[in-house]
Amino acid sequence: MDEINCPLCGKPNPVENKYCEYCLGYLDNEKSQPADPVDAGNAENEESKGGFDSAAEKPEWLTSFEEPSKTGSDIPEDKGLGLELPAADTAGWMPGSLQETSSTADESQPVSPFLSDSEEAESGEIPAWLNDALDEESSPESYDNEEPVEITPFQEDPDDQESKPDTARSLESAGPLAGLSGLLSAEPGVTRIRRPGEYSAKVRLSESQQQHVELLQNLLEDEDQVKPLPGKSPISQQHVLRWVIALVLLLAISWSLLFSSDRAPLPIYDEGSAELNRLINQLPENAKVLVGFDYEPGLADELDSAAVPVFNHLMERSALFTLISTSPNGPILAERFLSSGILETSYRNGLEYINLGYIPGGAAGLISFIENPSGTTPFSIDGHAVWETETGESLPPVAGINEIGDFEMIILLVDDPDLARIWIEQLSPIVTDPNSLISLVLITSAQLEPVVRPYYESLPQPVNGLVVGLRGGATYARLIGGDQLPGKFWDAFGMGTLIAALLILVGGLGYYVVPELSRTVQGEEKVD
Amino acid sequence: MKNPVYPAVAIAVGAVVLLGYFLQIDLLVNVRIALLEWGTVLVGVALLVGVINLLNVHLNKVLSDDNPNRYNSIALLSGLILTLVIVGWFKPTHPVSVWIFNYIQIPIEASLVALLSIILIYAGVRLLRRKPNLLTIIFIATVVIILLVSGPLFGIEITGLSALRIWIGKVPAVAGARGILLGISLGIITAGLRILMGADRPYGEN
Repeated sequence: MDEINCPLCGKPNPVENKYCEYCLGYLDNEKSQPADPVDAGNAENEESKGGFDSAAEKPEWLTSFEEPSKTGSDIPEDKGLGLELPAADTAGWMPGSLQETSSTADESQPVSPFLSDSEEAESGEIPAWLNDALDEESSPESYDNEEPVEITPFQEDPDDQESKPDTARSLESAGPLAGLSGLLSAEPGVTRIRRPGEYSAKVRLSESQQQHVELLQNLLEDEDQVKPLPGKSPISQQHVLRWVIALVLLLAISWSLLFSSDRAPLPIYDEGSAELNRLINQLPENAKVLVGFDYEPGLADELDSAAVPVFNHLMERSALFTLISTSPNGPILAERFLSSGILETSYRNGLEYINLGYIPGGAAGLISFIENPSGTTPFSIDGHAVWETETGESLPPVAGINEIGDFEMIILLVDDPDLARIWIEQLSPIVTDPNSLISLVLITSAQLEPVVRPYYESLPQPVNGLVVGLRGGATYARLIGGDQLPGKFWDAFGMGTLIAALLILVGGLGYYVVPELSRTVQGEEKVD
Repeated sequence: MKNPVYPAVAIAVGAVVLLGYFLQIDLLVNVRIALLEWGTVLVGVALLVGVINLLNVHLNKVLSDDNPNRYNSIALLSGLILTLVIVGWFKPTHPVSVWIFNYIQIPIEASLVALLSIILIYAGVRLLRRKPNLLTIIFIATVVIILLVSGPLFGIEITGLSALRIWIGKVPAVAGARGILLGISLGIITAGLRILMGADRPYGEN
């Protein structure tokens, strides 16, 4: 039987085969050498061992290996397969060595269970389905009849390409390796430029996925649409509540001011007011009193009401006032207080009182004034010389005053805690001096009472008298008698504080109780 | 290196003024008084410079074309000029100046205080709803007691309520105020010592 060697694997194949039975390489019958096992074996040995020129050069051991190959197959027997096929029916693709091995196989070898049960196996015949398959595969026409299938890059597997019959890849057509077959391509198959396959642009979506897509599209469409903000209601619950509070307060206070005939009694006693009353009663006539006006215009009514009885009392005692301030609004507040007619007595500027104006610098300015009054404020707010000089005498309110301790009393009208603290702390060494006769009294707003009361409660007392707010003024008015300013406002003040307390109490409870009740009712409904 | 002159001057002045409180030396006392008078004058000048700068800023705003708030600046500038001219011409204690003060400034500020009272009542009404806890209840109860007892209450005398009001005013309120005053004093001492040691330099050295 003529054989040819496979150019790829070198194995012998029947000459009529077009493809190698071992590696499926293309067998070029015209170019291939005639099948000669010896030559084939020599050729193989030459490739693997470098080759020998003649038989004489071959070693002895190699020669002994060549003998059997001349007489039989050069392929080792494979007895493990256990297939026994008749030589006549053996397919052409089966190698001759395998055919011989099959024919000479020991019959005692066990038959494969795959075939042992079949009748064909017992009779030694190949089943018809297998024979057809073998004929179909073994016939070279089966490859020729196949239409070339274009493998897309996506489906292409480089490992599979080596096992497929592709003569274009196995035979080199140009270059120094022209004519050789089975060469590896220098360029990977995946980089070959091929027309990409056509794929459908449509995505297969399930029903739930389509619903999600529609939902997302709706969301995106809503993002693009400009929605106007919900307009605020011009009248909200908070607005109504504020207006109700304001109206109730306004009506109550107005009614009390306009139509109330019976005045409520003024408060009887207050320790700070009583102490101040005692101090003023002890003042000599034409006593020099330094008055500090350090409050803001917003609280002028409260402080004026508290201070009016005190100043009326001082005026009864013919006290002379020296006005000073550490806030820019203080001088004009002082001028307004003495000239607005709220006091029972009218004082004249320059004679009964002088206005020294504003001391800049806060605490430093106040310290400077306390240390050196004439040097810090040599002129009044009107520009007149106040203190005694070589050319003239001092004005009556500061006659005989060389230092701050020469005043009989210092009265401070204040609504700011920092200013009150600065005044008290800077005057404290002078006031608490046992040898000093000066006293410091405070007339403050009600909001400042907690801050200044510790000074009044201290021992020694840096603050000797304290009148707090309208209540303090009313207490003082009761002490000195007469129709004082605090008495006119006392009823309205009481009405205002009462209404405020009731509003907070009732409104707060209503705001707290009603929601709690509604929650409780809702909870019970849910339980039911 | 930072300029050492500024800290040296500040520390020296502070030390002289502080020592003047403890050492009754005539020279030291006179220097302290002189320094305080300088400080007072400087603060007065700074106030004047501030007023001039304010006028200048608003004048520039009025003159600029792309200023959207020119009407506010014009109003403020007019007010400042009005105040300066009238007060400067008639003097601060003139009846015209007092009239402006009485019928413009005082009503405006008094109205703000009146609004504050309404807002505080409103906040008190809503407080129980926003934070209904024990401290809130105590706070509201204290407010109501102080308000009720501060006024005449139509001549009705509730036994114990006036005493409670006096106790609140003298004990808890004074205790809290003392704590605040002590904290302020400690803060002032600390700030003074830091300036005297040069650790704090509020005089604008870079």
